[in-house]
Amino acid sequence: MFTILLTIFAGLLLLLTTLPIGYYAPEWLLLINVYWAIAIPSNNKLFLVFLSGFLVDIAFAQVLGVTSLLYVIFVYIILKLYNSLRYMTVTQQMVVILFFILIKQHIFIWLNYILSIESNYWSLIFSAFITAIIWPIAYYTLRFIRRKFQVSAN
Amino acid sequence: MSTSIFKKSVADFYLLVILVGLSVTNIALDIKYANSNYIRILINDYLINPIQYIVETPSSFFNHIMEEKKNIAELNKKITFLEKENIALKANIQKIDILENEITRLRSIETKIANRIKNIKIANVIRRNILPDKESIQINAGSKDNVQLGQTIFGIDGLVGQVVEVNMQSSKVLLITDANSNVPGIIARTGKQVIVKGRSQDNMLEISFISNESDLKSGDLISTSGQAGRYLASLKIGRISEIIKNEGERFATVIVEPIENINDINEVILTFSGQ
Repeated sequence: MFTILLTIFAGLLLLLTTLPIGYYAPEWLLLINVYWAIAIPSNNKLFLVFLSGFLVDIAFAQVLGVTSLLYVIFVYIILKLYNSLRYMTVTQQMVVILFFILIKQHIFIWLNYILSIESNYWSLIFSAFITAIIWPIAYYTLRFIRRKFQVSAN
Repeated sequence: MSTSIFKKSVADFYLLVILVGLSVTNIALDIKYANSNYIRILINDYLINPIQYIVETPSSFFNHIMEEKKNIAELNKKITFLEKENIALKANIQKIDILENEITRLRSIETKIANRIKNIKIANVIRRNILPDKESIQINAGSKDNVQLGQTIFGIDGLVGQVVEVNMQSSKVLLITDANSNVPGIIARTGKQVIVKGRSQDNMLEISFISNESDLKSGDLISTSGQAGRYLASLKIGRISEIIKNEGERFATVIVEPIENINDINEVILTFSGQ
């Protein structure tokens, strides 16, 4: 559990490092949470997902709760699908994640539209592709960490 | 075995419902009571800002080394420049007081001005483009200096923006060049009320919804009107630089160049009105 918290903290560091390029940056915290959801689904970390979404909202100065809402739903769907996701290769997982993130970004734009906030469409779409491209790197790094520190369910 | 799996998935679902409900409540509360969100202020001050400081340390360290290499002559030049700017700032503060006195005398209205500028604080810009995709700056004055949400921020030449987020030590300012910013203004020559909107892409402003027939000239001065209580009244916004009449449409495209050099601004002025 402590290792998971540390990886999320590292994700926060990466998020703040890439803050100057705005929405073009990959969504580090989402990637980390999705990895843990696939690797250790029995460990229920939805509340942690909620908190990391909250941190993203505060760092990006968005309306509090928008990102946490989307992240919680996203990871819940991943938790429901982890069995089939585990049998896929990393490239196939990448495509599935890209598909989900594209849907998520459109819901985000729609929410922003309801709250009458202007958002840059192409930066969000670009971010979805970048996040998907980063997925293999995140996957192998986090798998290395999981094996090294022997993170197990509980 | 099967029952335990079933129970677990139901528990998962309940947690999902609770968290989604919590998020939606958060959104609603944040929109309704944007002024008093202490969670945001606490996390910003004690978690995000320190980490941002740590993350920025390597780059700022190298910047410091580069700075040390600058020769003394350049530093002297900088000192003289800053002194000159300081004098200009002081002169401008005097000018504001004098002008205000003159207006009150000329109008000879007995009622006193409600929002008299009482004291002025000069804040430094510490970061630029702090909000993603928005034209914004971060200044080193926060709620401990009594900065209020929605307060007008201006420079020595003209309007800069308004405060959109207040933390303890710092606050974030949305510039008037951002597409989300709408400033109620008045054209000084004709007295026509207009709304000045940011354009984001080229650091220019534009007047929205102004008809093709209206009396406009290139070079007209636009100042804030103080309507709706959003911005302080009679601060300079900009001058009209281009008028494009759209034949066959109702509204003309009018481009305004801001007077204040918003891109390179380093010091901003805050005023505190009231008793």
